[in-house]
Amino acid sequence: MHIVLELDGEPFELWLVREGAEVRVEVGGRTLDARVQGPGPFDVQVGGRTHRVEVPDATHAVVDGERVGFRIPSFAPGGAPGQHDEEEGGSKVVKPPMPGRIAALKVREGDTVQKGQILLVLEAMKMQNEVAAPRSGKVARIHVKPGDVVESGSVLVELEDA
Amino acid sequence: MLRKVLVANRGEIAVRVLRACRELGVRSVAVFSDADRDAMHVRLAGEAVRLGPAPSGESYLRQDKVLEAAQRTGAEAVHPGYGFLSENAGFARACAKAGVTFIGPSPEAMEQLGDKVRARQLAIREGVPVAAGSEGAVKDSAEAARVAERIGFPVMLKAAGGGGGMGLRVARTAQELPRLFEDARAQAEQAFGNGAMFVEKFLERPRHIEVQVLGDAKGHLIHLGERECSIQRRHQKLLEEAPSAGLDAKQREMVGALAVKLAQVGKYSNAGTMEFLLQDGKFHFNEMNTRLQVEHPVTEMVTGVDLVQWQLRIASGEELTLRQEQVHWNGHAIEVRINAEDPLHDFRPSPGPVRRWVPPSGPGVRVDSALAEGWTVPSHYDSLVAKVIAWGPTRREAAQRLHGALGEMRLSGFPTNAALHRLLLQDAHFLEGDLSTRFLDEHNVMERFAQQAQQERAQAEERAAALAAALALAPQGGIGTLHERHTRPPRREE
Repeated sequence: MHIVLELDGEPFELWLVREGAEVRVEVGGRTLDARVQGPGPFDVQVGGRTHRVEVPDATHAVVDGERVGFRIPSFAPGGAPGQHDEEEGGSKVVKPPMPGRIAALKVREGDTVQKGQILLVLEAMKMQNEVAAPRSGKVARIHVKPGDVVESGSVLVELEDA
Repeated sequence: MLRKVLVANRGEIAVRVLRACRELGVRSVAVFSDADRDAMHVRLAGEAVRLGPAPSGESYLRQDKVLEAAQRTGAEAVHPGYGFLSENAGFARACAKAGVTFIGPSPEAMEQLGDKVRARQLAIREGVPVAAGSEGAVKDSAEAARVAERIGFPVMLKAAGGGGGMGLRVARTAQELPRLFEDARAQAEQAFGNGAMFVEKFLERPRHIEVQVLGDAKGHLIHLGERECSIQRRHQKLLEEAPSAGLDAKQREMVGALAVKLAQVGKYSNAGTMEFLLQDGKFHFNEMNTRLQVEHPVTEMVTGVDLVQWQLRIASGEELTLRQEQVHWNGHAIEVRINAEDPLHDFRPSPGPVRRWVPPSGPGVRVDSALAEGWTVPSHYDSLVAKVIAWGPTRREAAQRLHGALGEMRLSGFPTNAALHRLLLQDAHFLEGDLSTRFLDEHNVMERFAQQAQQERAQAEERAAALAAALALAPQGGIGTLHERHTRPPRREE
């Protein structure tokens, strides 16, 4: 299965495959074998050491003695490690690296852009931040205009193959 | 004493001023934008007035709305904090016209000492040392080039009204000077409405030393010693301390006297800061900040003087009863600025929801912040979210205590620079005290930080993997059920 696990707001993307009493976990480009013991608290062997994990309620865990809040904002059953390569050449959907206000658009719909080309300028916390094309292609749609306030997840620009 | 004060600011500095009001028995009024409806400063004030929508141009920078709020609530005075309207002489004048006391210097002193060109001219006239350069503004890039040839490259091209690294360029050759000059001028014109430029010799490896001054309306002025703010990134201060490890008692006395002299001839009153660059044992006056500064707590920690209370008392018409010989310095204080920014991605801003906030505490630890769990750091204002300050009998003890405090602190929901500060506070060169404004580059701090962050991320990933594996094998519930619970839309509260 594929999950996004947030620990105190910090997201981790993990792929899990259950193999008997073991779970194979892919995270951050590494494959880790986790051996879980106990009905809870659990002793989980990962990466050469044993982590003590308790889950007192559905939103909190205690990992190695430190209490953390957790959320699972995304979950998909199935899938297997190694089958989740990034879309070739970078994402076609451009999202802002931070919430902010659109200060300027540097391209128009229909323009052909190169990977790394500046698409727009996002103003956040008194700083101007350039948002670049993650891949080469054609600007299919622009969803924002100067002055718009955008959140982290919103789609700014969609690209398509040129 | 003033009876009621309006605090025309937000965030930690608004909270700081509100606390001083409370301690002096002064009633307080907060102002807020739509982004700050639930902010701490609103909660701490006696009353609060909405200014307008989130962008500062429609709220905290609206002089008319601020004055209207003061008049409507019967506030006799306005404390501007730092940033926003704090160095705006036009606003200080508008306050006077509306019969409201502006807590700060007179508009004339602000113009004389806050304008970089005029302050530099005054310093030259009074024999306060400045870096070699043009006496006043230069009229074009050709004149700037002639000054540069005379004093030698590299030179700094500076805007009279600049600040925060804007309208500032370093020219290393005569070829690149005209282009850089026009860049800086255009930026300054756009940002500050003032394209006046001057030229100074660029100092390659200076220490940033600044002196806190305090004065009353009758002209009694004292200094409260220096702060060192050499640890910077992109001309923005990251870590500040008092006293400086680079000064001896004689230099301290000398630079303090220079600051007081300049403030005196500029007829300055209330709290202000004279900035100097120190290189090869020589001080060069840089500029004056005609307001309270972010890093004022380190001075408070080593002198025991409450600067904000004095600001309010002086604005009430009280005399500054503190005499220079009564100011003593005890121990050492270091402040770090905790910013909502990502040091791994060129310090890009990272506003977001505060998921967890456990401030550090303990002997000698002070935290000035406006953070609260459940609150969201807005993207409209600057990225400073907390200041953590530690005092110790010596510089090393202060650094060690601050390092420990940051280890105890929990702040999550968005990236911050807290881990970078922990690295700095244990850095051997930092502890030696051999600082300059180029410290981060000279000692490969960012490269080392990236390596450390990578290791920490790997460890965090292992903990996440352990928790995920435990959840996957948990007898009841399981990850799918938790996902459903965590993403189910919240029940609407009517």
